[in-house]
Amino acid sequence: MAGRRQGARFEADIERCRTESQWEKIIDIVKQFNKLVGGDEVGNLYLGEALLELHQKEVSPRDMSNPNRMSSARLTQAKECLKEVLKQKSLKEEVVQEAMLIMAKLHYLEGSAKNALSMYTHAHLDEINLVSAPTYKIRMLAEAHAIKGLCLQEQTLASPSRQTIREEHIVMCYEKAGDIALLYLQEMERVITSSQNRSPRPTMLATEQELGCFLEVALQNAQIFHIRNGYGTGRLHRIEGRMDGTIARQLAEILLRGICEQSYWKPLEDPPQDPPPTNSQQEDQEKQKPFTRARASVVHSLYCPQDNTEEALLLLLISESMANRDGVLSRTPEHNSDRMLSLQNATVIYDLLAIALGRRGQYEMLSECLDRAMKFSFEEFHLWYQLALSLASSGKASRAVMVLRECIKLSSDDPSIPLLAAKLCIGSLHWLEEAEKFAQQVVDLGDVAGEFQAKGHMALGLVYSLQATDEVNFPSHLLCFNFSSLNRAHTLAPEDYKTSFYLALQLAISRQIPEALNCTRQSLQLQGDNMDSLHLLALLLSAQKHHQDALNILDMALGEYPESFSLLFTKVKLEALCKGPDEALLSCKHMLQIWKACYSLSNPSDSGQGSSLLDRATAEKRHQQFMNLPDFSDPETGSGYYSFYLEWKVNETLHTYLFSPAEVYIGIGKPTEALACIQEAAGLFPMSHHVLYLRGQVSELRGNLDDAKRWYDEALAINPVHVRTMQSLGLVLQRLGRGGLAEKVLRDAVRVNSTAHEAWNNLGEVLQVQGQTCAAGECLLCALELEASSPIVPFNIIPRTL
Amino acid sequence: MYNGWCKMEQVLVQGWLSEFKTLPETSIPDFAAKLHKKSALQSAIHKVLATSQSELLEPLCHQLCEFVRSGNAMLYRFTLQFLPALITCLLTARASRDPRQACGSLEALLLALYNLEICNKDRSNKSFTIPSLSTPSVYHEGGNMGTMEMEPALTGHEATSQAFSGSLCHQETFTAQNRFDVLTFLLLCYNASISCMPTSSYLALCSMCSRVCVSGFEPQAQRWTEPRSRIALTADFMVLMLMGIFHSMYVHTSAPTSFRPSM
Repeated sequence: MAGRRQGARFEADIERCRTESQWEKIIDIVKQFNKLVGGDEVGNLYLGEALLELHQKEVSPRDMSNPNRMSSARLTQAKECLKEVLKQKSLKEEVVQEAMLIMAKLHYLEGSAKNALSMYTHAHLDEINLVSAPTYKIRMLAEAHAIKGLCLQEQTLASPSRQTIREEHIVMCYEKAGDIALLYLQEMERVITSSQNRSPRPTMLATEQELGCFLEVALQNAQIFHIRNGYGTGRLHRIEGRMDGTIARQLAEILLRGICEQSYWKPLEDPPQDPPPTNSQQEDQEKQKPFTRARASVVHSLYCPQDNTEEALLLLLISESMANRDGVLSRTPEHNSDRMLSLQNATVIYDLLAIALGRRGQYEMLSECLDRAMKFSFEEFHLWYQLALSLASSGKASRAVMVLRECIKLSSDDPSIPLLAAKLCIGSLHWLEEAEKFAQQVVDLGDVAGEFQAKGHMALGLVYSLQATDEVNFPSHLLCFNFSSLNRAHTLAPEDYKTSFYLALQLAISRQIPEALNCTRQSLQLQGDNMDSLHLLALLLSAQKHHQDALNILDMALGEYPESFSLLFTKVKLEALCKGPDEALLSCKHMLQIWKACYSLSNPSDSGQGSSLLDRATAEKRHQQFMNLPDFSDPETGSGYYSFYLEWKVNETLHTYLFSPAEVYIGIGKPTEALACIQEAAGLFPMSHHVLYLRGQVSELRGNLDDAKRWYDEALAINPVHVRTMQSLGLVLQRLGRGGLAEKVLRDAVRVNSTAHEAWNNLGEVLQVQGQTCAAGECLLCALELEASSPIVPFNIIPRTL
Repeated sequence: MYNGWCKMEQVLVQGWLSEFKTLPETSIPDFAAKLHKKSALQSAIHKVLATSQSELLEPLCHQLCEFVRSGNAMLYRFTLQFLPALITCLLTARASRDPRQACGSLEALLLALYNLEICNKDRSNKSFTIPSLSTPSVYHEGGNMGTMEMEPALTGHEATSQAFSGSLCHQETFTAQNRFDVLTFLLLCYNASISCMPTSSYLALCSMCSRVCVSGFEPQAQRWTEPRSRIALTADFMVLMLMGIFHSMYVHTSAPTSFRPSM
């Protein structure tokens, strides 16, 4: 009698503990009971289950993927217990079934999916009735279905034709697992509320909503199968309340690599070809969702992604925020493995973000995201490099260079990193000294650099070349370095059109015209339709005074690049020289029309050249992109020199193109028309030295020398090294009778640009008037020589970037 | 032997070309519906496109061009699957130093595809939204995401809508200037329906990427006998190339990699 009463209490205790997942307690109870009553087969079942659950809790989830590391004393003990149970023939059917389910789980944990599956077949898993089953059993069944799905997924199939059948089977298992898990959660909630009503002590809060890792994984896998196979995404809502970082990331991964825009459907819509769910089913689902909020009514106010990239992006942002929240940053040795895990997780998320954002060209946002990743990335090269690349792509060149410097520290023998830094320094930042250092780093790597060695030499040569242009007193020995670097690059990579092109350009700048022509031809053989090479060829031909040939080349180049302003500008100049002003003005008009069409300007006023000029202001932003110049809005551009340089560079390009009509009018002696053009331009560039210079030209044309001098002085106050202003001012001063000052100005001009033949010529004239015939003769000779090799437009108009 | 199989493909393609010519107008939909099942024909066409200076290139391009113009969606899709091979043809012809390699019909086909696609309202007027965590979505509630330290970063930007691509204009001819604008846009269209493509198309895509990347560099010496120069690509084009490769890398792992519990 006492034994039976004890037995009943024992059963009740055990059931409660199983429901609450208090496995240690079960072991104690079973041991106590065994002491009192002696061995019991059912007791073995409880013991086995408890041991297994404890074992599962103990091993870290990562070890679970490695069955060999899984064996433990508990596991073997549990196996023994369960074997004992299964040996007995006299037990109730339900007990045997439970034992089989637990055994199957044990098999799976041991890494034997096959044994687990055969266990499930023996237990007739699919036929087990859920009606009035105790809570713990519901969980057990849900888990069983989940594990069955996992087992099936692990099996390898001989014939691919059965793949689809198998997949359907797997999904069915997962769905069942999900359905039963919901039922379990519902039951649990009821149990919790009732137990809380009875006792104020919240005993079960710890186990609340704890599904166990198998069910979590099953739900995730089911989700991914749904997405992949086009099953109903209505299923998404089932777990939306439980959306976690991993599943969000995995969904994003699938969306990015398995789905394209055509095969995508929105999360709240039914997928194509899917049979619509019946209403009663939906209602059932609604009823079964205590943990998922019924959102159908508020869904309209929510953001819903419109395509796969958007959905992936949203999911990635969610998982990113979770990874950031849960990331382990501690560097203490005991946290090392956890830290590595969260770093890995973060890296995957940020890589996927790079893919998703890269598709839309949102590099700025990517760089912001990677900024947040920086807390993970101490000495992690990959994340640093990604940040550098995103910064470079979003135009934040100065920060990119700083980050790249850190990358070089982390990976010192990769030539592409300093090369990239050099490119940014040369291209948008114009930090020539920095660029030189970076390029030198590439060159210093020697043969390790491989293909990049030639590029390193080329970068070095380019830096010297740009320095020579910028600085008035450029040391001549560096010019030698310049040539040797470019020559070295050329011999290292003879098949690279860029090396021969830059060598040609440098030869042209130092007026070695025939050699430069050879190199340009080489470069054109390698890359027949390169715009800069064609332009250089035209300029070289014009330097040799083969103007018609140059024009032909330009026309050909314009056929390939109809919207290139620099080509059109050169054409205008050439036409003014050999075809007369009318043709040149026609070309000007054409150029401005293209300008207008190109930037699809909003102002539909008359097609006169003036209005096109006015529209420029709106187009300026886009124009900068066209010119490959960096964004002004870069907030980190600290140095004043940098912004000055940029402004100067943009203005320079704009002037050269937009003032060409005014210059043509001046050239044909029509001051009124020229002034109209200039006045319009002055509205746009009130502080431009070029406007002032042109005003001076007009005044000179009208014979008003004092005014001209005033304009020229003002222009020089803004840009003290503008050679064209200097050479004009020199002549005006001479005509005003101030020969000494004229000589000084012109000497300054030739010092700034020693190849300006007009300045030499003017200097010669001034000296001649002053009676210094000998010096004048030398100057004029020099001017003559230079003129013989002078192109129609300075060679510097061709951009030099890496 | 090389000529042997080459002949076979040629005969197959030639037969198919003449079959279409004799087809009455009414049976075209039927013809179109059957096309995607003819995998032998698809790989034969790919082979023809991969053979440089094949005399079949011209009539083939001509026919595909007719497909594009027919307005039949199936025929259009059928043509689109050859886009990677067509791009390879165009770029390598440009890179080869043999000026005889004219590709007029090829350029006409690509331009026809492009001009048709830019008229497609769905695509050209499309804008996209950058989601933001501060706006609640179907997946999360706004505001309860992220920790305190992240809030400034998140509230900083709302979900913003941006134009997908700039306005694209109709192009009459291929020039060096617009070449990559056209090709980039076409590759974008291809990527948009990439998961409907057959395997041969993925192969062609991957071969296009590798060819374009090694042309003019050292490794090419083993692959092509005639000299080729480097092909200058634009950044946008390369991003789309990578997207395509990324997709085709995973497209045949039909199930997600079975993952045991982790995290």
